[in-house]
Amino acid sequence: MADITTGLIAIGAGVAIGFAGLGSGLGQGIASSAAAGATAEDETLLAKMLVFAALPETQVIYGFVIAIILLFVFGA
Amino acid sequence: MITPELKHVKLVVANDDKRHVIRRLHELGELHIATTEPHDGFSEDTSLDEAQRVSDLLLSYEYIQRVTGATLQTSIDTLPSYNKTVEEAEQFIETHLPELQELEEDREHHDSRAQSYEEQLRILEDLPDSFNDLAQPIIFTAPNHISLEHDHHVKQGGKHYYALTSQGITKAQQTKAFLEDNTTTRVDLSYVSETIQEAKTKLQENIAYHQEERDDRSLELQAKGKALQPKLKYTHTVLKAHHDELTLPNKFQSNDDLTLIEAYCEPGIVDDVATEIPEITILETTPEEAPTKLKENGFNKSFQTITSMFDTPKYGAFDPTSYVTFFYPLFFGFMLSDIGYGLLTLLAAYLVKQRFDNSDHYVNILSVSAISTIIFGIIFGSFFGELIPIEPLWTEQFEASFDILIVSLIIGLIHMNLAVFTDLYQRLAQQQTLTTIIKHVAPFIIVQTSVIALYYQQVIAGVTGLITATALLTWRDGFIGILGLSDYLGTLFSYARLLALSLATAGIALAVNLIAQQLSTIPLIGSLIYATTLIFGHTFNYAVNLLGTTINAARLHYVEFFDLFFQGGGTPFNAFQLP
Repeated sequence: MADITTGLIAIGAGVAIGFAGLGSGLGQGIASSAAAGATAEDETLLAKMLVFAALPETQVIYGFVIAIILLFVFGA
Repeated sequence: MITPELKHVKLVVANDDKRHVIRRLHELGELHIATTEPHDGFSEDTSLDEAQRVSDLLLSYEYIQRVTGATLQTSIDTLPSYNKTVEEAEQFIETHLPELQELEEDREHHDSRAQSYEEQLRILEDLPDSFNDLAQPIIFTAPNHISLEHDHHVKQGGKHYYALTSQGITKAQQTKAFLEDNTTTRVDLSYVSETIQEAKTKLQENIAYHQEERDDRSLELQAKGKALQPKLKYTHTVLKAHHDELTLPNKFQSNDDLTLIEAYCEPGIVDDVATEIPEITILETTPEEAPTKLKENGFNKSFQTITSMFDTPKYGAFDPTSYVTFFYPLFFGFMLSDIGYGLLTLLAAYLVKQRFDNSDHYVNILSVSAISTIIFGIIFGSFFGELIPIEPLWTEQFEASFDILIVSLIIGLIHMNLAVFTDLYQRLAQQQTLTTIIKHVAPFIIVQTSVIALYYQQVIAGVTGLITATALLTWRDGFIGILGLSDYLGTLFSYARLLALSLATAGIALAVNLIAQQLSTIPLIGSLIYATTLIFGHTFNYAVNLLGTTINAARLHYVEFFDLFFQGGGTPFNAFQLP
């Protein structure tokens, strides 16, 4: 039984970070291409565009936090 | 610190003293010259016609620089008289420009001919070799085999080539049939008046001739550029200085007798201007809006680059660069956290310093970040992963990930609190109303207190606090303010990236070391593969994570930190300097 629990926790952690990463990747792709276009027009926008490009990355961090909590709190 | 208060000054100057005063303002180097507002009895300065004359000369100099590759900039100790410089420059251009233009046109002609022949040769070289001996053929290509009448057929590179070489009516009929088949494409051979091979030889000769002529012209231009270089760069630099001086009045207002200059400076400078330049009459006011003068020194000045990339703080707002100086290297070191990668970053800083001029700011940022990386490498016991085993000062990343996550979030909480209390200080310094201050500062403080209350099971106090904070956020931001609480939570969790990137660096380093270890067992070449895998693997890991770390350390400032207090949109203070 303990093995099944460990396995489910591992799957849960994988799903949490996997889907969050997928979503972040898609979002970041869309945002980055627009940001790259804007920066090509006006290079002074680099830092602000970097922010827009990096914004969707936060979602994968949430997934990461969930995965860590699953592994180290529930998996301990 | 709050950006310093500035004075707005109007400088009234007699027209006869204008050139002298501009030079003295340059020497003083403490004023930001603004565009002067229109005033009754004044109009825009009319020195621009003269500036146009110098602009034209400068364009000619830049043309010479482009075609000869000569250098234009040099340093000058004293600025010779304007009239003498312009006369000399005009004479210089009149003497040398026509000859250089002729050479350049000739060079361009040969270059363009060579390129055109190269293109024709490329088309012929794409044809099958068996067509080389065909005289004046008509050639078609098609993606698939077709059953039209033809004289030669070759399949090459996935395409079918058909050559029509019969004479007279047959050739015309064959050509018509091929043209009517919309799967075929005719190869343009209008320039081939003999066999394909002969045409190729002729084209090669033509290309060689035009390339040689082009190179000769280039060498001639370079030689002329070299011979003219000393005079060229000196006169150009002097002209540029005069040009900047001439176009400056573009910002002024003037009439027949006087010129009006508007500028900003620190209060202490106003007296210096009055003492140093007695020809000026000064009208001083305290402005509500002014350029932002940033007063960072030493390392802070280097980290100003990171703040400025985002935005310039508005006048009278808080300049967060001193925080960036501390937290940027901290985040960078936490996320890269490897002694080996820290040493590589130090080496990179050294190489940047050797290779690039004016790179001191970047070198400082890299060096401090590298030292921070080494310190975190010692804390986590990581030296190219576990390649060189050392005892961690605290723990390895994989052994206590949850504890490191907690530390990351605590650092985030400190960072956020610093931002909120800075916002409080900033708004007090700006003498904002109590209501505004409460709306902006109180929610975050109440949320934190409520969470602490809930932790100690003071449910009523905790829930009341959360409701109050939400109400304040809704009052401030409207309906969207309801999301404010989750926004704070999201911002806090965003600091988990400190652990995430640290784990990523350590994880890839570990994987590289394991792969290298496995490959080292291959007989004979095992050691070589082991070393190669380590070099390539760690170079890859370093490059990828250096990029991620640089961006994420900046992002934690731009998105999470600045969002809580930073007031941007300022105009940078540019102390007036002639070149």
